[in-house]
Amino acid sequence: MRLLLVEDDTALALELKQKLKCDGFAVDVSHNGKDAQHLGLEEAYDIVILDLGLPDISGLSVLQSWREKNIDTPVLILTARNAWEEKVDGLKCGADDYLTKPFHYQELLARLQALIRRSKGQSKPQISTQEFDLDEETQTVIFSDGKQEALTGTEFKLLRYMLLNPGKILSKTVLTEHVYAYDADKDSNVIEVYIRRLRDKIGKQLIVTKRGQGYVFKDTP
Amino acid sequence: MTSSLHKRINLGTIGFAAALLVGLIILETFFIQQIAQFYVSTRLEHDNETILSALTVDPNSQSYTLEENLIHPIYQRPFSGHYFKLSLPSQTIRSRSLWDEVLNISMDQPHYPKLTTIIGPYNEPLLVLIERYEIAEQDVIIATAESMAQLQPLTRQAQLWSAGAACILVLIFMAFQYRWIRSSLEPLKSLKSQLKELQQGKRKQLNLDHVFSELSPLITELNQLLLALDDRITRSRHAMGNLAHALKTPMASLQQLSEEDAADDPNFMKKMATILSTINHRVDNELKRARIAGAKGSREQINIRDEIIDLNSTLRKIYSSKDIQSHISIPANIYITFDRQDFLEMVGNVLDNGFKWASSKIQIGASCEKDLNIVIEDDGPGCDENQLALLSERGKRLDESTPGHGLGLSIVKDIVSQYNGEIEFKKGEKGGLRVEITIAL
Repeated sequence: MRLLLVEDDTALALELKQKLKCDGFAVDVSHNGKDAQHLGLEEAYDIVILDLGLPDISGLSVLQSWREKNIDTPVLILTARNAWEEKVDGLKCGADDYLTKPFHYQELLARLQALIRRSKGQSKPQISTQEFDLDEETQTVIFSDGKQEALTGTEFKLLRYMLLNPGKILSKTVLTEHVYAYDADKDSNVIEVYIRRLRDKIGKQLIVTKRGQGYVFKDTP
Repeated sequence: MTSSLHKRINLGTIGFAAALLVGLIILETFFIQQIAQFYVSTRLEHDNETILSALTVDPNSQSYTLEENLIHPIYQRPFSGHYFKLSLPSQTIRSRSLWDEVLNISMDQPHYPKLTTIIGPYNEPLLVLIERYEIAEQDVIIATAESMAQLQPLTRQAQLWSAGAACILVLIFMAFQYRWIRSSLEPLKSLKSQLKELQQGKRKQLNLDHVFSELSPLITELNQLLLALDDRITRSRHAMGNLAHALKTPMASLQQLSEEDAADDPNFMKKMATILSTINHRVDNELKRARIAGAKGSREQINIRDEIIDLNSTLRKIYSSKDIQSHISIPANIYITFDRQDFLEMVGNVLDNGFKWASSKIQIGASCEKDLNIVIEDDGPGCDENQLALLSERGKRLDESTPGHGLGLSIVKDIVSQYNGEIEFKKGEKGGLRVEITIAL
């Protein structure tokens, strides 16, 4: 999952980036509104954490400009401003959730996961398929017969993205974009290696290779 | 003391017009009287000269004879209203018309000619002209009198007519003046309605067009004050927000640190988290309280249905993990004059509390007939009697040191009391909390 964190406070941004990374997000950080606006338009993020009080352009203007350009990435506003007027106006501008500082990291994570699931049309509190559930907390695959299979960070990111986009052809480039951060050393060939490892763990028939196009996750085998 | 400019000017005009009217009537009465007297006195003067010319003096006996056939016969007819009296050195001659009456008049006057009025026979008012002549170095004094009785009704009538005309003129003048003042003060009326609109929040500034130049400095000053007030509220709110932002972002960092799994001293981290949470709640409450604009704050027209629907969808997103149905029954197009931030804070906190505790349903009702009335009821566990009593107690702040419960409601109570409203906490039909807010607008 690629996540854009827009936060002008470097200490908080760094802290959050570390934690979100551990929870399987590829995090890009922007400390000002201008960069955030640009990144949001250029990169395919799965979710955005947006602070409203930015040094140059206000967070709300950034959000508005994205929505005007039909970028419907779910946005969670994370701000110190907690007046109801700001909450209402923020959500009217097209935000999907609102969390005020200071906050508990677990609550932020739960809200992010719920937002991603909702944006992908999953209403259940867990990402699941007919064969197995994906536990986001432990980054483990739990099969219907109770068997568990632990995943590595990248495997987890890759599988979660595929589970949330079932039936779609996902090219190596798309997968790389959603698994790695903007500034990461990307090598799309590595994706092949991870796909092979995932197939070993969850079964070959679930991930189908479309030659020259990419991979498709088949929920119904 | 309030006094109407309109009334004052009108009162002044009426006073002035009344004085003018009285003056006019007095002058007219006097002049008409004067004209009548002048008219009669010239006749009397001629008669005096006729009588003088009818006087002959015998150079030997020094006796005077009056040739009556030379005098107008009216002086012969008894009580004709025309009389004379002659004072000669050795005798006095009266006109025959006096019959057996006398002219009650002294012929010895300090100055001649002398015009005076006396009461004659039959109580007739007489105008008398007394003149002195010299014949052969001897004084001859002639007094002729004419009754004013016939002329008086005429002069009275003339006086009445002229007074009436003066009255009508003054009335017309007053009517014109009244209308003129009314139309001149028209700009003040528009100012008055503008002030009302200002109060209702329909406008933010007063219009300077069509305003008296004498008043424009006042209006300009008022506009600047309004701007300054608005600016100050916005700025202080922004300052509050900025302070909150400045304070809370580092607090958020601290909180993240305190939640680190790898913390060396979990006990210390836990304590830090508790302190952070307390600071946060204290700061939140004081800031929120400081942001209340109150009934005297900037006011605008808000549609309560739209605002509550927006709040509801905001809360549905925030509480998306819970599946809560809200039933909103608010008539469309109810506009009230209220500070929007205060309104959202007031309703938002009650609704937030409802969403927090409700198990599946929230009822939201609002109306504004005479007073603004908002009822929000959830189907959650509700409060027990003690808590309800504590909530309802006027002017009592809820325990703000323990985060989580009733904090938002404490702010709501503050806002409601700033607007001189009433808030009631009850057990709802479904056992949850029912909050009713009533504010007179």
